[in-house]
Amino acid sequence: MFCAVTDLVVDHVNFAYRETPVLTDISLKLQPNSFNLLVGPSGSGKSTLLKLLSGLYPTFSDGTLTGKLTLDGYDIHDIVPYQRVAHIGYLFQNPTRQFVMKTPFEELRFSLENLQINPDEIEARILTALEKVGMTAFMHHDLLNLSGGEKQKVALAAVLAADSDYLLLDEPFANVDPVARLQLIDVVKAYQKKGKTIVITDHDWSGYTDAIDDIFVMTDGHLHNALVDERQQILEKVPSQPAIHADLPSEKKGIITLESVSLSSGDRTLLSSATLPFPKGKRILITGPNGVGKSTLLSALVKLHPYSGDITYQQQNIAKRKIAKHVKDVALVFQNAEQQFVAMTVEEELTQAQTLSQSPDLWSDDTINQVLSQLNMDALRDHIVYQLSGGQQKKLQVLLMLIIGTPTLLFDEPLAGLDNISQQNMLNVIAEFATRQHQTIIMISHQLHAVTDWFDYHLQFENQQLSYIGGVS
Amino acid sequence: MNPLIKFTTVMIIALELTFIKSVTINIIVIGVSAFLYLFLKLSWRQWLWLFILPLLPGFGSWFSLMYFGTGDHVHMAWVMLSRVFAYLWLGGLFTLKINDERDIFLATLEQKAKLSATFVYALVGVLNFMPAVSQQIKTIRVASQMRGQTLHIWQPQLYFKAILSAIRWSQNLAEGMVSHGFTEGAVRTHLNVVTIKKQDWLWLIIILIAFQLLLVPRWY
Repeated sequence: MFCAVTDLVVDHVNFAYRETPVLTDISLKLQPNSFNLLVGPSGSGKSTLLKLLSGLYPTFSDGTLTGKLTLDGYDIHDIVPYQRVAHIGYLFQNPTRQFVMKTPFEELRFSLENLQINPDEIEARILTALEKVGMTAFMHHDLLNLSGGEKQKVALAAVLAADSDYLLLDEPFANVDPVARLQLIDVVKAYQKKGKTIVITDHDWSGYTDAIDDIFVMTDGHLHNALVDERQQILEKVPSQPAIHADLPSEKKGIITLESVSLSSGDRTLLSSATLPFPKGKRILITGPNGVGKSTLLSALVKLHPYSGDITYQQQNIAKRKIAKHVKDVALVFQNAEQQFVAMTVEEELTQAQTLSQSPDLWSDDTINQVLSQLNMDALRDHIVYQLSGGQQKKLQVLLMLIIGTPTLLFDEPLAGLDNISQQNMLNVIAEFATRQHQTIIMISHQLHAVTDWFDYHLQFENQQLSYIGGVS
Repeated sequence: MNPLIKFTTVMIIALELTFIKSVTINIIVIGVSAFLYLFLKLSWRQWLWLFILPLLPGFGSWFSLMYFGTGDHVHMAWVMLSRVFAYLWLGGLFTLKINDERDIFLATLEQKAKLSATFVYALVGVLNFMPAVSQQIKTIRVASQMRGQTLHIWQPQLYFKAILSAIRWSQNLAEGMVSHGFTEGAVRTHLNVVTIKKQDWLWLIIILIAFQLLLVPRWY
């Protein structure tokens, strides 16, 4: 019934939302048992292509598909899901959107039961898959309480357990810390060696040198095989732990200070009794492995997560400040961009932010236009915010929060899922306007190569401790 | 006892109570429930709820029948008061433990009651989503406060955002389920096969027969 190699055909495929083409004349030939990297700027159509290959589009979109997209001669989106997933596994860019159940164990079990796997095999498969991604210890934890990176690992375990012939991974490592990222690339490589075909999108090209067979480049909805120099450029990226150049803070006082602050999530202690200042008007980077508590720390600073000890803002205990007033001074740029939107279209969002800006003189229409084009977003003004690509949503969200001009801005992985050029543009925009508005920036990021010289101070979060590092080069 | 069997028992007795106008029967039901609660190790909060929750509807109907009723209204007032307590205490036997027994209840619905898996897993999704709702509303409020806009409880925009995120969540749930190979109407395997013990059926029959015997003296 099953052939050794299933034949995936992508021939002259076009995809459009009403009048707007997203993909134009795409033909793709994947070598059986190969490891393929799909690259291209944010919003170029990579996720759309993967969703079409997985059969979720056009069903779960309001776009139209033309061209030939078949698996062993059948239209992919016509194959019933449980048979399709046995051949093609797909990992969402945003893992929370893929989760259905409460815990990692239930999530994987749900999937395997759908695929009609023999009950005797199910438990072993779940354990093996979770072990590969290093999440066995969290098997029965609530998915809601896992960190962004941990969720990505669980989502990866789910598609590995399904054992599909083709594995489509959409930015699977965007929120994963650099050490774990390299381990996971090895896990995916090992999976391919079992005779599987992998397609992976990633903006970080390091660590793939020994793994990749073919590279495809997507630009503006057009796809081509990487040219020799493009290929060269990507394969040259060696994984490195870039040195962050930062000083040790000399300030004893901070705009925000922690005094014996402890944090926990569920029954996990994340931070134990930390005392330190966040100096005013500086840019501060927070790094640390997945699940260490970085996002929870930022949530505590805006009173969205309970803590013990004292957190002060300009010598005022934040516990005594009303949240509405507090977040006018300290605002969080959420990891999930959609949470921060208040209107429907890009235009409406921008107008809203402009009206409520704390430095309205700075944000003239001209300035906004100029920044939009700097971020390559100028053509998107009338788009619905929820239909933007992951990267475009991120850029818009950051811009909106800059326009509001809150004195202290906390960024939770603003660079995840952006291509290198977009990352640089985004950092330039943040730097320019944060300086002009005298803002304090506290940022979590795993994209270290982009920020080697960008920050004043570097906080390392590890083993329940927070400490400033750097100073000596 | 399998939660579905428990549910069935409770429902049948509750249905019968609707037609029985007897304070004695109601008090017996309350008494037996109270006796069972002693073994269920309730927290003091749950006890408090059991006493407070029936007060308003119970005394509401008691007052209206007592002072504004006609015919056999004094007897009916006491029947209604004790009935409300009986319903809630009886129902509590099922609902207060459902958090622990939820998974097995839903699995029984799917595997034994042959309810459509689509329905059962939509329910699972909703139940998983519930704890996130209040957090979500809080986040929406704070996120818009960070955008300089305060959404008050009475402002429609807050609910617009909440509804929008609920709609998006339900689309995501459907898409997420399909991406896991979930197929409407298709066969699924089950890691844990639910079996209903003979003993459970036996208890169901014994309890129901015992209850019918209670009715013999015609207390109503």
